[in-house]
Amino acid sequence: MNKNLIFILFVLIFGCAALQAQSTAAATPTMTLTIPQVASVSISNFTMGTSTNPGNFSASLQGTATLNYSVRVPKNGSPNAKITVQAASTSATPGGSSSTAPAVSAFEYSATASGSGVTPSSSWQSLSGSTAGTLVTFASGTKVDASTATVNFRVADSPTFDADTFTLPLTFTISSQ
Amino acid sequence: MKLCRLIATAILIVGAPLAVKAAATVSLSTSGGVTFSAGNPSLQPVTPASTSLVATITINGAKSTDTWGLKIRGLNSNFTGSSGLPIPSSNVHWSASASVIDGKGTVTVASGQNLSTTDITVASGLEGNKSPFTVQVIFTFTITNSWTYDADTYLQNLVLTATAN
Repeated sequence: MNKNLIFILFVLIFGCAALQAQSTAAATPTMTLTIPQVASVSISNFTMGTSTNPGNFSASLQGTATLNYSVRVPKNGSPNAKITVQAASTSATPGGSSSTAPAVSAFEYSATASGSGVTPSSSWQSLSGSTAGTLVTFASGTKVDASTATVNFRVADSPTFDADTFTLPLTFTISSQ
Repeated sequence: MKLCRLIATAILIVGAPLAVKAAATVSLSTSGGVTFSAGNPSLQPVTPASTSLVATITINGAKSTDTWGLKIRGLNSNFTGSSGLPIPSSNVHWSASASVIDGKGTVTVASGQNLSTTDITVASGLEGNKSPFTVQVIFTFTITNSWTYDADTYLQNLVLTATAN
């Protein structure tokens, strides 16, 4: 009697299991996430001094500019991630056509900046019209969002300069690798 | 009791195969992969996927009283790249919409949420009494962008599982 009951229960359970049969299908699409390098720079608050004492030619004309930058350097990036400056002209342009302008190399620059992986060129370097000078270097893996660096400029005043206003265009470049 | 045992045996032999025959079969296809092209996080804090992912579920042998479902999870807990630190898959958010393409079944879509490695039901419903029953689920994905991410290309797999009961 009990054996029969167990058998019937077995059949009922088996039947219920069959009714719960499930069909399954799966798909595994790939997700790709690209995180780009970032390199952006803009300049603000560019001021250059005015020779207020023309008789004292040993005085230097100094000025500063603020570099606003963001950068994301790959962890396996090359050590060329940096901000550079270069004169965009071979000479300064005088306001008066016959004025003698200071040479590009008479302009000097240095930089101040801070942050992990951020190294400014703090010593004075001569500007070049043919070679980009390094202002700030970034280590591999450096990630900086909306930070600032300060560029300092100076020109050694000289008795050879004519009294005039001189313009020298500069090009700032940032590279993330 | 012998008669009872005989009837039960008959149910086992005849009934069980009938139950298996009645079970629906489900197939699942997807439109391709999901691509996120992140930008500058300061300008784009949330990055949408460049395309939607379309999952098509087809059920043959649909029955009006039977149910179907589609689940989603991440295969791993992180996106992995070649040099960058892993990025948590939970930064991905999905949402879905669905429509019945063929058949007389129903579909209900769950609210979107962040991706996890646990199966989450995206859509479900009744199969209906017409075969095939085909339903299309369209996923929209976004990922939270961050300056903490390293520049790199990262991969991860989704796991979509469709079931028909």
